[in-house]
Amino acid sequence: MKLLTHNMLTSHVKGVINGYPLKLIARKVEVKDVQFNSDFISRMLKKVDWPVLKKTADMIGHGQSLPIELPVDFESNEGFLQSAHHALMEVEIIEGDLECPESGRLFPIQDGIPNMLLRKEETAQT
Amino acid sequence: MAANRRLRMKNKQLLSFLQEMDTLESAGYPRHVWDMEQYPTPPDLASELLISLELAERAIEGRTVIDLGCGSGILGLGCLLLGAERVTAIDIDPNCVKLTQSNANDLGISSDQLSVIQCDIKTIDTDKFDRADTVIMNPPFGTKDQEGIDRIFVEKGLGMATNVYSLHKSSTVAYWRKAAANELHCNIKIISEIQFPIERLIKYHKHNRKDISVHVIKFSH
Repeated sequence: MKLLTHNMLTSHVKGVINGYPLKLIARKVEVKDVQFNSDFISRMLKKVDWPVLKKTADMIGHGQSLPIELPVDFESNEGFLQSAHHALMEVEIIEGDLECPESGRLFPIQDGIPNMLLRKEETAQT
Repeated sequence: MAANRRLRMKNKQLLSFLQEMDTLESAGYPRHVWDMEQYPTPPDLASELLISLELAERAIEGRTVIDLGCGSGILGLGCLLLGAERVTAIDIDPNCVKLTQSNANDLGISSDQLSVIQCDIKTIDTDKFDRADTVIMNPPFGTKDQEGIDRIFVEKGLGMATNVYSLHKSSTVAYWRKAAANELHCNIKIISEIQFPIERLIKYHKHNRKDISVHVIKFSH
């Protein structure tokens, strides 16, 4: 699971009002070389919740080169886009958990795939 | 015409790749027919569908694509083979997400192009997702234990992408036209009609295989 994907996931445990962002507990992390595509990254950054990305990357030790705030000139700032690319695309969580900020429910990450599935009694709808 | 010919060439190659992919059966996993309506898209059908969507709609090459209810991953991975920029494949079934990932590995698809997520489509927060160009899906028909699930797939699809291409029983086309106009507030276009093979696994069905008429429907904003 990439941090790009983490940025989009929300917990929907019954009764939880704000299930975002999920706290990432990483047990096995790999860094992979991914070809840099500045257009793609700047497009994604318009959607990414930057503070969440920064905080999550920091927590797993890959946020050093990321600024606290998204730079105003981010679309043309090549150096910044490279750092964002690294955090969003190259850091791969292989094993770990995603923790719901409200209920503490853990969603496992196994073989790089996050499992957001709830048990029947945890879902709000029927 | 040149592009047309190129795609026809690709059709053969694509088909041969899709035929090599593992299915739930060949991987030794159970197939959930009743509660999840897992009817796999056969390789020839998948290949033709993807080629025609690329040809007529430019829906795949260079696009970001989401495959909702990905099963073996045949549609989503097929899109990557046709040059999609990035694919997100989502399924509720743990075996399907494993299968999609292992099929991707076998096809040599690099991990930066594919995200696999296991979750219940009903619980996706579509606002959080980056808006994709295309959703391509073979959702459950919603006719068995989960009435209305097809509608949820379409709604979530529309929340996640500009264009949604989806397979539905032909008998439901009138319903979809009405729903698109009155409730979903989206455009609807019939792309094609295909014969979709449904294997009858349950003993009281007379035939082992039956083709049902299915429409490829485009929903768009």
